[in-house]
Amino acid sequence: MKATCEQLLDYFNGTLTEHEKVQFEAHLESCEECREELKELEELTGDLPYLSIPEEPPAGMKERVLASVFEDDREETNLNHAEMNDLTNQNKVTDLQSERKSRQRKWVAPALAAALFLSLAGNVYNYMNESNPEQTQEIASLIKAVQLQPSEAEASGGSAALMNENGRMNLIVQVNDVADVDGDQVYQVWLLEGDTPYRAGSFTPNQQGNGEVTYEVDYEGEHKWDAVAITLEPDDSSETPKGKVVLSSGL
Amino acid sequence: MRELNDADLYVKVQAKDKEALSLLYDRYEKLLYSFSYRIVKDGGLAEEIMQEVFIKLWKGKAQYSDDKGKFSSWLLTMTRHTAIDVLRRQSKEPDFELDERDSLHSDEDSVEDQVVWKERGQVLRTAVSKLKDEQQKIIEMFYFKGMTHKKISEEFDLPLGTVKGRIRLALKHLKTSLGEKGGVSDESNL
Ligand SMILES: [Zn+2]
Repeated sequence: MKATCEQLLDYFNGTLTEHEKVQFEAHLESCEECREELKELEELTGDLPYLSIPEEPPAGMKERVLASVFEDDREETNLNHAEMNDLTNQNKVTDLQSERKSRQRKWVAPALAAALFLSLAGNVYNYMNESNPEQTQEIASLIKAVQLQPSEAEASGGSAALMNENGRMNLIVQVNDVADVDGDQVYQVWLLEGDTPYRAGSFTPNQQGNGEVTYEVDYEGEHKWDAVAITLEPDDSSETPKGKVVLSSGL
Repeated sequence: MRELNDADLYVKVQAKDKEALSLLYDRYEKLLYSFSYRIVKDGGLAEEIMQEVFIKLWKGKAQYSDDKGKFSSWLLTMTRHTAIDVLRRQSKEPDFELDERDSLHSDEDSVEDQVVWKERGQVLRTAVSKLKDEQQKIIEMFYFKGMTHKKISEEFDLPLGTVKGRIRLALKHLKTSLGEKGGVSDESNL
């Protein structure tokens, strides 16, 4: 089905397929009418949740819900395929399956990053020794890799890579010789689309001034990332950069 | 120490702070549960929705950012989408019934922080009850049941091209009616 203005209602209700959703979001970029109608729908329905009669939550629901959230999280770390199939057979887990996979992938990323940076930077890091070689058997493709340039003539450096791992995009950033942080300060990674920054992970460096972070880039809609930049932020909650750019590169 | 706002807590949740998730849960349990219940009309399913919503939050599967508006609005939308999804997975046609309680004033006891909700709810329910049955029904089917554009056109025997207009009209009438009550529209993003 072609993305047209007629899909607005289904988009608003979240009933489009993933593919249709992506297409419709692309359509939204170019269709002002749909953008306005969507905004109007959001405004007109903003109060409707409060139509709900206050219900008394069932006893013990908090414990059950949180236990299942954390339990689910723990299971993933050592999930094999048999277990995964088992879980799928239980009710309602169907769309969690893909999430499980993506979580596993995050474990894999450091190893991939290490392999990548070995070839990129030519410097020998010993990350490979720290990672489990079994975890490297994932399908991944490199979209773009760049060397990060320091803003001032500093000794720091680093690399960034956008990788496609089974349909998910990860940004892997690794830096060396950056200054230590104070208090809640963190180094925040940003992906820039034009002038708009998108948060893309944060990290604090170790005592040697090295740091790394892998971030799953999952912003809705189509994006063309123009640059990657790292700033020093007062804490890990900055929605837009407050500190100066420490390292950056075009993409 | 100042109380952390929702966005602060969300950031902490992304950093796998269990305490932050627990706080967010406490803040929203009753609203999200009641909203889910309003959609699926079943306590067990409503709890299932709660579970999915908090798994999504914990895993960062649903990403919030400032440009998506208020956290509470985003969370309610995410909950509604999850509930609609659960309804669809039930595979049976969603039973449609006008929620007769919508036209009643609920006098259930309400803890202090739910007073605002209760007041808004009453104003809203009064406004809804003034709409024509068909307008109530179309809002119910579209917003609370997540019925597709095509389904609505079949159900109401409307050409596809006029469905959107009907929904807008119903929602606008509701808004007008709320305005007359000196209602809650100025807080609609709360
Ligand atoms: Zn359009």
